Amino acid sequence: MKKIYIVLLTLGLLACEDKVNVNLPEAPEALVIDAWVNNKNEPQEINVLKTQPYFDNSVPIGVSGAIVEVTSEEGTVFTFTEMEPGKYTWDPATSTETIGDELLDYTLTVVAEGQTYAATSRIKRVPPVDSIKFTFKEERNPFQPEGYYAEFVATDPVGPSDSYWIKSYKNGVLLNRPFELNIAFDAGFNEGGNIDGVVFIQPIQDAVNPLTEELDAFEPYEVGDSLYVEIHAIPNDAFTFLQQVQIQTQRDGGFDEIFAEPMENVSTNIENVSDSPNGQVVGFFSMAAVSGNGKRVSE
Amino acid sequence: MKTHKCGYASTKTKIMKKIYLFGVFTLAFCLSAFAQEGNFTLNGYVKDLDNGEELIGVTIYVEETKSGAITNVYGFYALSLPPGEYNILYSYMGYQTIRQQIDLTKDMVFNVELPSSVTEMDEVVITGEAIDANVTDIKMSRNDLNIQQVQRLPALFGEPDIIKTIQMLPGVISAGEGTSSFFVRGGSADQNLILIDEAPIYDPSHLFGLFSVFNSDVIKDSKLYKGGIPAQYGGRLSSILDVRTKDGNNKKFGGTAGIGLLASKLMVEGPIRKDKSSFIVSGRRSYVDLFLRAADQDNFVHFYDVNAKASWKHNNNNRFFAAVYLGRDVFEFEDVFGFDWGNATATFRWNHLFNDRLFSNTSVIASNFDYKMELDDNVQGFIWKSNLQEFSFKEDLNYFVNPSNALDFGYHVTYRRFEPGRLSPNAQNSIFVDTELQHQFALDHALYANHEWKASERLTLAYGARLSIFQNIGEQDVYLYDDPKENVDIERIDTLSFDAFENIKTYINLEPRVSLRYLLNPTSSLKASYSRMVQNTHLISSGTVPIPFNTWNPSDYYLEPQIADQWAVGYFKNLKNNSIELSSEIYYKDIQNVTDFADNAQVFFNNDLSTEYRQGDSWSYGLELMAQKKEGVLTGFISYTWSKAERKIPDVNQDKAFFANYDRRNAFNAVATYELNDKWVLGANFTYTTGRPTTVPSARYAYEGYQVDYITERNGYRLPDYHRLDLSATLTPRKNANRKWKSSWTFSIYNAYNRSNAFSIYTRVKQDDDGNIIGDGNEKEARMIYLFPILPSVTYNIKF
Repeated sequence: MKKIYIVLLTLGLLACEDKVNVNLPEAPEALVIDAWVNNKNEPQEINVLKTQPYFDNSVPIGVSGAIVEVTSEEGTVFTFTEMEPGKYTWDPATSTETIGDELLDYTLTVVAEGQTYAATSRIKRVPPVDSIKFTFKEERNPFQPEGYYAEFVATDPVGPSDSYWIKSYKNGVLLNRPFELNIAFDAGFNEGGNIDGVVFIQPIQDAVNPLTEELDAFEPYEVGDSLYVEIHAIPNDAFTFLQQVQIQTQRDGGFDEIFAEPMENVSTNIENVSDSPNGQVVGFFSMAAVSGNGKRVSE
Repeated sequence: MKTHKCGYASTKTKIMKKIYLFGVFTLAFCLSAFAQEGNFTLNGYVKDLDNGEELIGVTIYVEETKSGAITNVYGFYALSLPPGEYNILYSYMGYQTIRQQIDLTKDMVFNVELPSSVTEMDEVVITGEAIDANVTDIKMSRNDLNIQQVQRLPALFGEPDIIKTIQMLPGVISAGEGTSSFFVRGGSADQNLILIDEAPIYDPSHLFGLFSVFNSDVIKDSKLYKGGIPAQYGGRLSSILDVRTKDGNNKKFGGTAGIGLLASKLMVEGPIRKDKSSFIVSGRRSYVDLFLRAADQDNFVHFYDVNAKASWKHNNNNRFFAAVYLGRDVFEFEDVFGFDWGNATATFRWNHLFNDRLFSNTSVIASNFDYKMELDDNVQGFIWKSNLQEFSFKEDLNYFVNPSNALDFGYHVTYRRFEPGRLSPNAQNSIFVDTELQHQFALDHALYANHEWKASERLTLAYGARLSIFQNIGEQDVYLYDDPKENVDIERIDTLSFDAFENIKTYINLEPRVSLRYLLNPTSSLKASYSRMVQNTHLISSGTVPIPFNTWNPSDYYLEPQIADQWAVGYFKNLKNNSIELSSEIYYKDIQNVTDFADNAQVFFNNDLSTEYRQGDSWSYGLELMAQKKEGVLTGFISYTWSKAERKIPDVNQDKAFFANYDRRNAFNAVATYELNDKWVLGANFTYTTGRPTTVPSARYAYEGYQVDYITERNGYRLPDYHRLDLSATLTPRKNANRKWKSSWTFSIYNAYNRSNAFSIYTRVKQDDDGNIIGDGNEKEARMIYLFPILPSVTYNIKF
């Protein structure tokens, strides 16, 4: 929908824009818990931070001295220890140890600044990434220049309400910009699509291609580039959360703001469970089961 | 999921019948109580001498009794007087007053044709018994728009638009320039009932609001009711915009044509049988797309309007009218993406005089609103269609009992059909599957009665009520939820299936309406009113300005009717022989069950939409001042409004109260036209308002590498103040006098001092002008968007 209004603008609505200074009243700080834990046999990280003033060019402030634990439904406790201020990690003791057995519930507990926070999540089933394909394509339009275009093939298992975050690494670097966020509900974009038990729809397969720095065109792969695709199976509430992050971070302002829904906070599944709760908390706790596959472009 | 049937329709029908019978008996009782012996009735129609158009709101004043009447919306009046000789004055703005001596010895019909006032400025006659309706009429919180004046005011792209003038009235707030939405006394845009010849228009915008659907060439009369709304009207909370189109000249053929920068139009009218029947047809089309096509562009936008009407005045007792409106906007982008929307309405009316004092209007009305979006793509291609239809039958009766008593009563029934959306693939490999949201149906009955009683020379009292009986009916499946307000993990636990016309939910509401006028002296009065309004058709949207693609929803199993109570008092004064009208009003409005979406609602194609919306409270209050000059070489108005509008809705803004999107503390408007000489008329608009509130994030945080906004308050920030001056000059060449057709030029300058008015503010990662990110991408900046710089335009008009 947003594009409609942008086109409308170029049609001669003569809109102009300028930088303005917005003086905001100081907002009370909120605690941020960034807890995205997967079942890979590698160090897992949970960040406990503070929100920053909006127009401030500061790095996030970590909250030190917190107790951070993840507990499985069966009672196993995984303790995260502080490596640097606000950054808490868990290292697997063996080459096979993971957090996250399929179809188990996990609880996160964070004790920070005298308050206790809790959230629960669940490990869901994950389909394998069957293959990755590169196809050389001539320039089709200014948005799709000549080069190698990638797609991945994977099949959503039969039965509704699976959701996924598909992460792509180009030459080992995660494609992590808002317009590169690739999420799926069953094999489609969202629940309403009702596409279940089939190969992921084409736009999701294609979303493993990076965008240029200006975000205005695809930047196809070149010979020698590698692509590694991971499917993170996540609970539905985490999908909803990512969808909200996607909507909010892709919001491009402008003429359509007057027609759009007002800006809203993305949801959180973290609750302040202290006896006398004090202060706001944001962020999300999600467990993820991961599968992956990679390939390098050759002539 | 279990399914079971519901069947209590029969008991509801019985209740309905009882209520109906009760209403009929009450009315019959009232009528007999008022009937008086020994009086004769004088009635008739008041028309324009030149074209036979009935005139709405003409004052009929009986000198001997110092009483009178006003013609109704069909130009009809009736007076009941004891036998005798009377001097009766017929006066109307812009027309010469006629004094008629009548010897009333029996019931009489007297039709009047008023000649328009001579336009030469030094000959304007202000009669001794001028129009003082501002003071004497019981109606308050109502503004009548003079279409001739609207046509001479500066207009955006030279296209006169009544909605743009409405946005300058006291108590009315605009969402921003280039929008056709307006907000009345703290009510949202969907709380305005917009009627064209009694048929509702669901989206009055062209080009997302640059223009409205109202073509000024065909408008005869338009009134905006902001409070003290008569019992005859219902269905929306905040205002009624009642636009009536011309019936067509029944004396001679004629027309107008206009060529503007964005659109051109043509209107033709004339008699079918002289003095008996007439027609009017009018069309308007924008032609930006034609330029674009010529410039080899692939993006096309156009809109069009067609108004057509035929009137047949068989005799004084039976008159028939049929009116049609059609309008559509079409957008196409590079043959790939396109959408369109449009309204279509049809009205058939029969005016009938049962006897000298009982006037009846019977209307059959149909209205349709639909939109479509289409994406042409092998993979993501789809067609999305939505449609809303309603059919109404209305019977309105005016009973002119005697000079001190008038009764209005009637019955309305409306059937509505909502098709919120159907999504179908338009390519073989499309990822979309054919799906459709459930249709909804509603039946809406209303019985109303209003008694206007001139208790004394000083005091007039009007009281009445509207009984609204609303039914959400089948065919529909109603889903029951484990938690009806849980919108993330939605769990349906049961389904209630209803057959066609089976009652799902009934809401019965009584809407009392009271107003009074107390004359302090011949030139000033106090007025007060209370009204309750009920709204059963909801636009589910939380954007500031509704877009045509928002969903309308009837009150249903989950959604409850919105109810507004409004109190208003005012002081009205006329100066200088009634040529200057002053009004001041204060109001307080309280609304229950306003609808908004919970934070992060999934609005698009959701069969469980009821889990997403929330109903809460809204309250608003304000002071409105207005001074209006209707006669002389300088005419126009100035208005000032101080107002406040707040809302409190569960799950929105952390359950805290917040300012409505259209809350603006101060609004000042001035509108003027000045007749310089017989060649030039000058016009000017000035508007100043406090900036509208908007939501700006107050903090941010990093989550998995994404920068997420943190918002502490909805609408907590205000855009800068808005102000703008527009100027116009209309040139009527002197050579017109010698030719059959008359031409004129209108030159407009929009935003004359080129103010950069904020339209919206958004934030982004700090970038330079070429879009390169400054720094590490962590810093944010705010950007202000403004729309129209200084914009000159010219329109050429022909009248023949």
